[in-house]
Amino acid sequence: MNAADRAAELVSWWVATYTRRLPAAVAERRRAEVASDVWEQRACGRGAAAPVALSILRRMVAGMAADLRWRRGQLAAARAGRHPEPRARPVLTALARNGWLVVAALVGMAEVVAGVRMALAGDNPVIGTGATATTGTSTGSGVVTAGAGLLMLLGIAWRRRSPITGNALIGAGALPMVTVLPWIVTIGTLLVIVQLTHASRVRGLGAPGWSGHRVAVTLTAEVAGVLIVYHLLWRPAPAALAAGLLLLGLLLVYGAVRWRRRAT
Amino acid sequence: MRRKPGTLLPLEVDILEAGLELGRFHGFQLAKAIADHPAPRALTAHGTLYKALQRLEDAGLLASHWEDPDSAAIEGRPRRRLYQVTGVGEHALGAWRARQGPGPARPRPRLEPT
Repeated sequence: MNAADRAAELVSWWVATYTRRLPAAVAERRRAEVASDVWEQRACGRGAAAPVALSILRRMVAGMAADLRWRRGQLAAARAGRHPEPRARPVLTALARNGWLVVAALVGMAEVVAGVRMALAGDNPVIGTGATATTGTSTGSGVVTAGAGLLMLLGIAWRRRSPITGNALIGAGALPMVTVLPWIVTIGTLLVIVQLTHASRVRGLGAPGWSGHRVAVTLTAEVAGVLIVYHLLWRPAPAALAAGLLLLGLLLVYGAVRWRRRAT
Repeated sequence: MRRKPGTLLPLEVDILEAGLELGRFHGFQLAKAIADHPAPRALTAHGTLYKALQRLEDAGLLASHWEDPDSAAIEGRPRRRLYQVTGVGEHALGAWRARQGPGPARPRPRLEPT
């Protein structure tokens, strides 16, 4: 392998690097064009490997800033292409896209109203048990329920600033509803998938946003918190408490490992 | 940064001028033509060249297509992306020259297609 071979390999590596996660057709075109260019240059300067290698390397280095600017433009174009502005029936399109937010808002408001009523009332049936609670228990449950509802409403408002944070807040607010409506678990699972998909897409496009592991940590903390609160405020459930503490323990271990990696 | 409509960067002028001389051309052929004119100089960087080519194509000043893979295979080389200056490109270059006013002619050497 001579100097020109190594230079060509380096160019190929650089092109593969800055075209990563770009739309396949765009990336392939750039790779093929530069590969052809380098081949032609080597063919043109046959017999003089070192000067050709230097020239190839100079062209690569001198064009790096333009390569990165081009990549940024391609990413922006890809994002715009994936989320075109709705042209027809904007109200219906927005409703279809954000219908679940309407449901979330209704659930949040219902939680707030139910929580306030529970907190103000004296003896009330404990959710899901049919038993009568003391005033202290119903007040505590009411505050938590109303707080969860407010969290959901806050999450809906927060989505304009950060969709992922907003989704996390909505998820945290919805999870206590598991005690009343078990199917919320399914919705929560779907929400987790949506969040993770969104996070990976944002990361893939190189835009600022939450990474996948950050979303996973947040959701794990949410679930752990809900399980512990469920045990402490609704009804004693050693399994829920144990699961919550286990998740918190895992998070602590994960945090410690990351902290040690950064320290070293 | 936005540019006024109708303005061309020096590299874009070089590409259009060399492209009109060459007829149908590929990337390295163009880089070599620009480097050889008017006095020998370094070849245009990959990133700068292909970004400018795409910009001109997006603006309709150039058209491009991949050559037939069979002819590349026969010659044992990678496929070339072949470019050509469009009528819009020729008109844009003419308009740009008219705005620049009369100046010294810049003869471009006729290049043999490779």
